Amino acid sequence: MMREIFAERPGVARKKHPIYRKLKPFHQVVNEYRPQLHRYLRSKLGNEADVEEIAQESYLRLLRVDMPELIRQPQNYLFRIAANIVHDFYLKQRRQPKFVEFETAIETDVEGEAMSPEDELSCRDAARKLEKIIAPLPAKQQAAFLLKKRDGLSHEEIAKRLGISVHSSRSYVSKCIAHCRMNWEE
Amino acid sequence: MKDRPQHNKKMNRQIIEEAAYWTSCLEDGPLTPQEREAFALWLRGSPDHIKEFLLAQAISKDAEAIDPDQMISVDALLAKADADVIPLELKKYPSPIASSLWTGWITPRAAALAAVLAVALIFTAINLFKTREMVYATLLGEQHSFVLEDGSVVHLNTQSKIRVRYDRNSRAVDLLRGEALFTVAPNPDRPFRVHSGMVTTRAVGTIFNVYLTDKGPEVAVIEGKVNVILLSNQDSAILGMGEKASTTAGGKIETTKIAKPETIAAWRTRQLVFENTPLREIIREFNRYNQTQIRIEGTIKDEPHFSGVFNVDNPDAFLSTLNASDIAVIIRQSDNRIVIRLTPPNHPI
Repeated sequence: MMREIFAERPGVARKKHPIYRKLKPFHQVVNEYRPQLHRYLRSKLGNEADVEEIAQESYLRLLRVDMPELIRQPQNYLFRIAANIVHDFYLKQRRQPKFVEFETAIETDVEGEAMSPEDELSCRDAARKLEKIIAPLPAKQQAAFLLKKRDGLSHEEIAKRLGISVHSSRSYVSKCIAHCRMNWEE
Repeated sequence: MKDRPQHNKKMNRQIIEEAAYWTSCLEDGPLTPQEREAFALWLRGSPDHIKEFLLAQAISKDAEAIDPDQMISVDALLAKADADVIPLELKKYPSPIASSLWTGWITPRAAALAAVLAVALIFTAINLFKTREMVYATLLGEQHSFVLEDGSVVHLNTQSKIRVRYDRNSRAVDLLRGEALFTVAPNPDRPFRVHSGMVTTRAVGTIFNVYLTDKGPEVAVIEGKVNVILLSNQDSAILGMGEKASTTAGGKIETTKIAKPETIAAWRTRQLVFENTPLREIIREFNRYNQTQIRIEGTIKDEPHFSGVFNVDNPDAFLSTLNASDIAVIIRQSDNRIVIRLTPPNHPI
């Protein structure tokens, strides 16, 4: 398993070329490793115990990555590792037919990047739920979050639009994420 | 994989907020090298960090699908914000003279805006005041990393507490408890000082570790130079790379060379490195990280010393080494209490 992870990492020769030193933007990284991992995480937001297992295993594997290498792109490593673990997790479930539920079986087969109709549905459900969760927050926090997430504005643009500082815009968005996490369950 | 309803109750707010912070930082563009290091160390700090980061990331991604038809108007939200605030503020400052003066030429909305601004100013002032002095702490077994406002990075080891006091001309950190590693952002105009017990450590741009042991503070330098001062008599010493300072019973600073400087910060990867270390010190180190507390009973003529690398979370690995030797008996009193009873060595016939 570990070999598999490291095999994907850019070779030494490539690394030296300046163009490869440029780090990938975060959203690109997320999109590359995301589909199955994200689907999994969303389905487990209400069930921490399962995520804990994935996190525990990711943690152990992350400890084995050389520190200088990890510092180069921490997020890439984590997503690659976690995605591999989730993938294994589904494979394992598939090998134990009595535990396979219909839903899981479908999910395991969807490996492509494109969103399946089921995905879109659960994504929309999640978004609607988040919309409800942020409703009681102060209006400016909500506004900053919407402008950032829904409208894709930068913090500078949000700051100008709402008449707040860039720092406040950042802190509002990150507070909203934390609030959603803490209030996911009713 | 059973549901554990109790489990969700003890969500760690601090970790959740840190995870949200890193998630939004990463979305805003590439991190600086210092931030990347802090983030990498934060991830390696605990499986809980990874769990919360993954969940925060999933939430943040899903949030992009909120309100796809743009039904929620930001202007309406803001208008509601004004409406929420105004009545309260007007009630707070009712002055008949002022209102008669104001009503003539200023619309209620502008007056309200002024009130909102005043409140915003007060809050900013409070926030400014707060950031001047921040306290960070870790619980048993926890490790955390923070980027301070000047870009310096602090890694906090288990059961540790620091207070950060920054002003325009100086940067001061009080190590109130435990151990911290500082990667100081260079700024000769604002010296960086760490106060730990009776010892003050001054650095310009450098990486060093401060550990408040029961015998007093220990300062160790990984990179650069620091100046160590003993407050009681102003005894001082300059420490270079791979050097360590501690205080002697006689009230002096004692510097020693560290055989393997790379072990200074081994704790950041949750490792304990012992190099001919006395048993009592080894046990003290394990006890810092674990619910399971180990006690030594009895005395032995020559306290045994051990070398090795152990995971901070796994004292059992060390105990089994100890068990294999014939100098001690390990007694498990309960899940969280272990006693090492020292036995005089069996002399070979």
